[in-house]
Amino acid sequence: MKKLNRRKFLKLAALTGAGLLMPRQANAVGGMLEQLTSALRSLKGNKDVPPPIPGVKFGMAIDLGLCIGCRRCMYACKRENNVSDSISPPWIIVFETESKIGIEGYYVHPKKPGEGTTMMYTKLRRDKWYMPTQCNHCDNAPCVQVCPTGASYKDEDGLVVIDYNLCIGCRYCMTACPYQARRFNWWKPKISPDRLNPLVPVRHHGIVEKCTFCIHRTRRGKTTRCVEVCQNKARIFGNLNDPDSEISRLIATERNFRLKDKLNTEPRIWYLTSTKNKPMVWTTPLPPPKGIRGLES
Amino acid sequence: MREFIKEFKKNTSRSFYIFNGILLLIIMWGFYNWGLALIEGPGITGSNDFVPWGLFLVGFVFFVGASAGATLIGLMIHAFSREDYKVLGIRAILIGLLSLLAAVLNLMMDVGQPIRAVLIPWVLHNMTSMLIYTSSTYFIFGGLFLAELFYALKIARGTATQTDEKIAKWLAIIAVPFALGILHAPHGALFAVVKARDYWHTPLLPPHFAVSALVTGTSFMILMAIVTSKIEKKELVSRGALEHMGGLLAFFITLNLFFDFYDIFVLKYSEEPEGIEILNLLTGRFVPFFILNFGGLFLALMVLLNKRGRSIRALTFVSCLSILAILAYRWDLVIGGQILPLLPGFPEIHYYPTIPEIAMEAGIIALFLFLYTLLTKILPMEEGSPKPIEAEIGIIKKWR
Repeated sequence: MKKLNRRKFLKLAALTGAGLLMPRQANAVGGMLEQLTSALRSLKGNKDVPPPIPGVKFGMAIDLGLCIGCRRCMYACKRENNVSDSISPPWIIVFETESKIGIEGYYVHPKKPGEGTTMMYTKLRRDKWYMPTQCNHCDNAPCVQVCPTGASYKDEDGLVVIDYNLCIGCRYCMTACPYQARRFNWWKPKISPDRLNPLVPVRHHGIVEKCTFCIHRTRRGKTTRCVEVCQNKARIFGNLNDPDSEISRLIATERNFRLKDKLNTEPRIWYLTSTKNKPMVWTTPLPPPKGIRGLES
Repeated sequence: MREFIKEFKKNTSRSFYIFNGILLLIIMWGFYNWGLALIEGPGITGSNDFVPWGLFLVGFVFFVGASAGATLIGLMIHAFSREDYKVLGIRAILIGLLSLLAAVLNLMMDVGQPIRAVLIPWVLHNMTSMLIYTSSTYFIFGGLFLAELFYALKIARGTATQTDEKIAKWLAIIAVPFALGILHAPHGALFAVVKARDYWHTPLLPPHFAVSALVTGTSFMILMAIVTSKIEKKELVSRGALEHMGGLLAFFITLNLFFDFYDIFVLKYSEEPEGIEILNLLTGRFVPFFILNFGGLFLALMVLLNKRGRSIRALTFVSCLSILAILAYRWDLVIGGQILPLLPGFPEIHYYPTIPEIAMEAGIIALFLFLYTLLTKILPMEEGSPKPIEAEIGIIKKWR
């Protein structure tokens, strides 16, 4: 056996000490990291929005037989939610289609997909169908799945929420959303002060936003703004957990479909396809959105 | 230090200063525009809500692919004991490292909140996101390349022990499966998992990405060897090594064409409306890129299979063509995959890169070239001049 000199002894002692201390230090570092993570996670508690109401699951139904395509929901949503003028199209887009099943009938003309469907219509026609689209607040949301920081998350009440403080603006969610429902703040927000809603945060440039199902209203017991302004009551919003709510009853009894259901995204907007024999008010439509980036005018 | 500067000044010509001066100007132009994008908003780029990923994502996937060459050269040196590749070793690792840097810069210029993008994922990370996974691979890979560089420099300086050489060897060997498995294929998966887009949503995409990375990587290495030889006015690598790289490139191009063909074949055969739309796009508005992708790779393969296809001139042409062809493929995939509307009723969607966007991309490329020329000047690049191995040249001739 080799002789143990002082230098070797010190080396051995240092190594043993380090070996004994390492797990403790690792634990301490791990603990600190955990604290930091949980602190930041608690920050993530998204102070911008009210907390979800326990036991509630929100959903929406849109009766295509009653929608006349007036675009009032689109403009009201924009005003209510502090959507910047630089964001175009706004969160809601309304399509004019030939098919009763709305834009699901994309391939009505197999040779010319999409023919007979437009978002730029300027006159309302009784022989056409109108279909508003927006964020579907999917139960199995691809945008939530791909978001790297968890800024997009699915809350207990069924809403897909964006924490604007955590969005890094990578736009992966925008490419992943099958409904093209997300918008990006390409420029600094432009909102005239007279139309600012103090309940809704203003989003700065470089982050993503989308329909929130008027989270600032619905979580305080009100309905969404688009439902409120719809003159034909084509939109129905409510609690899906309550079997007696209007929305639960309509989904159970009326013919309906969900957009791109085959993708298994489990959207929370149901389109009712009742016929157009209900009493309706026909008005002139508001103008189509202007200055849309990337679209041929 | 003073001696080092003296030595540096002695070894640099006037053209070096002019070239790097121009590069610095381009870098400044690019970074100025990036600053503008951060202050004014990313609206100065051509991206839009329908094509949210533009030129930077094309550059990002392209540069990630370009890093593959470095691992390949390392494998040749250490696993196949190709002595004549040794002169390329450090240069290849540098290209790998700088490609990763360029890829990350592309990503940073693309995101709307780069500071958040650097800080938040350390604490909050959604593990179901492919982006968080691919982003973490840059650290793993950057670390691997840095370790490879450290040991390669030690070997070049003649201070390496036997253990160092062993470590260098094993680092180079594990780098290839590591690169294909955890770097290149997952970048394909980044797109392949997007079920909303039919052009992306195919299980063929991850291996396709890995193979196209090998094509760009090999082409980069050939070009680097030829251009460096021209600039330094000496034969950097033996003809044997160059011909061998040509052979490898031919093999990777064949594989890539196989993937390209089956991508299109399945779309055409199934006649699904979405597939037909994609085909209409590729053979309509995107036809120049489609021709460059298929035609370019096919022509490159034909040249490489020709008797005189392994001459310096032919190899230069073939590598440039392959790089352009893969760039066209990336464009078709990234932009083409987004330019088709997911809902009908939109007017035709367009995406054109803007001048500030091009400036930013040019800035990244200039930074890549600037750092490469500077580092190759500062660091010791090789142990000695290459020794062509007669026997191996014989093997190549037989293989051809």
